[in-house]
Amino acid sequence: MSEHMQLKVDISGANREAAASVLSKFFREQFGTEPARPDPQQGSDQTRSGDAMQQWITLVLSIPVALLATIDIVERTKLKERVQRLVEQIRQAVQGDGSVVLQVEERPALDVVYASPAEVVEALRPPEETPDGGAR
Amino acid sequence: MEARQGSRFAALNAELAERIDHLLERVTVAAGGNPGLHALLNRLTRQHASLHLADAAIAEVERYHLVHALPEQGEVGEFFRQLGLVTYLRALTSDELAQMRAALVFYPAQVPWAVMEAVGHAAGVDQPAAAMKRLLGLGCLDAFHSPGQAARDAPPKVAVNALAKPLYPPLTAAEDAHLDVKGALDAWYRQLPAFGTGHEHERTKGLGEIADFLFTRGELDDALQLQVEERLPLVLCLEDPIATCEIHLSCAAIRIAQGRMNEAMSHQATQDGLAAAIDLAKKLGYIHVASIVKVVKLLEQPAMAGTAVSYLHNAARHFRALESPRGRSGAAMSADSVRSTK
Repeated sequence: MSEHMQLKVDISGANREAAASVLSKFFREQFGTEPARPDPQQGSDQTRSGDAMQQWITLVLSIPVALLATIDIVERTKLKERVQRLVEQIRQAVQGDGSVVLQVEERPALDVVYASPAEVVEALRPPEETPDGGAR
Repeated sequence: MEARQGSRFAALNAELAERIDHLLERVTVAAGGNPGLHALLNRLTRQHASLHLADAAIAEVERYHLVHALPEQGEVGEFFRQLGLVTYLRALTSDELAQMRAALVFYPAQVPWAVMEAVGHAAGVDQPAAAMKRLLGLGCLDAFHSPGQAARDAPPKVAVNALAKPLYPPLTAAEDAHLDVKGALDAWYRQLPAFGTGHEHERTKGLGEIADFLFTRGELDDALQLQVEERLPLVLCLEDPIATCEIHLSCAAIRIAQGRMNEAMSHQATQDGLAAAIDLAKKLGYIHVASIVKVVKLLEQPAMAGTAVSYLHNAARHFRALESPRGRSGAAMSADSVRSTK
């Protein structure tokens, strides 16, 4: 089992830079990792013919699985409170126009703008805690 | 010659019966209330030819309770595979897992629904009631309804399932502190019917459950205070001899656990309580007369204080179980006969 989990966030909308900055701050404070912005030229579907303007921002990062464990009630409560603030700040940042789609590994994508904090925490759980994870 | 052989057989039989009784006592504890596991271990024990196999099977389940290693061998291993406890554990969401681990703080007590919700809230669970319903459905928690239609319509009491419990990491001190047990206890008190509402027996029982929980947590001073200052006056007022005995037994257990053995035994209330308990238990033909008598003997050897405490504690709990209407009238009748013989 990999000891890191891959996260990807696609941010769209007029206020995507503000939302990206909220997310970057969260990842830095929570996991000590600065997300990378892959070069849009390399992504086949990120530029459209005749439109050089990038319509969305992609953030990617790799987080040690150990940092994601939510079995400890105290740590989990702290994470949940931070996620609660994150969701509120993202909603403020996008101002009803745009989406912040979080994709963890191969799991179903989640639009953080419309998600509950519990859903975001659920999406961030390490594989061994989840039903489809590795055998104990 | 024949007589001698006969008595030897009798002695062997008695020894065998005692070994089986001892194994069956362990079966009851190890099965943790699961009827299937109880039946399986019982059957293994009653196959006299293989008592050592029964002993090994029971020991494997006991090991599971102690060190959380799932049994894998033989019929017991197969039973646990079929039970699929790990599958259920892995099906829980983060909130449900937090609710389950928060519930461990009460193990093995049955607590009111609202009290279990309170620790869920403290653990950051958004909808504790929804999480508890799923945990009940998966058999991680057990529900207990009191008899009567009104009680059936009310939310049940809940407890952590004894066989599910070992799968979850025990709470750390930091987690325990985070759960705000004091707040949950306040919620528990609020659930009890108030004095003067005609539900005093229920109140006595509820206070006893809280005292039991405090005892299990090692908060002995609080447990003793609750028994002596709140419960005892109430049951004296109700003239309830069974509950009085139960409180005396509990107080004796608490005082011995506090290490105040001498004080406990010189305490007139303890002596009277134990004597009254033995008396009553005899009149009722109550099975725990044996354990109470055992306790009195154990108390002569201070090194056995720990065992005495657990016997007393158990006896007290069984006395409280006499709360049922049949037990109650039986208790009242025998209390009358105790009085008339004095």
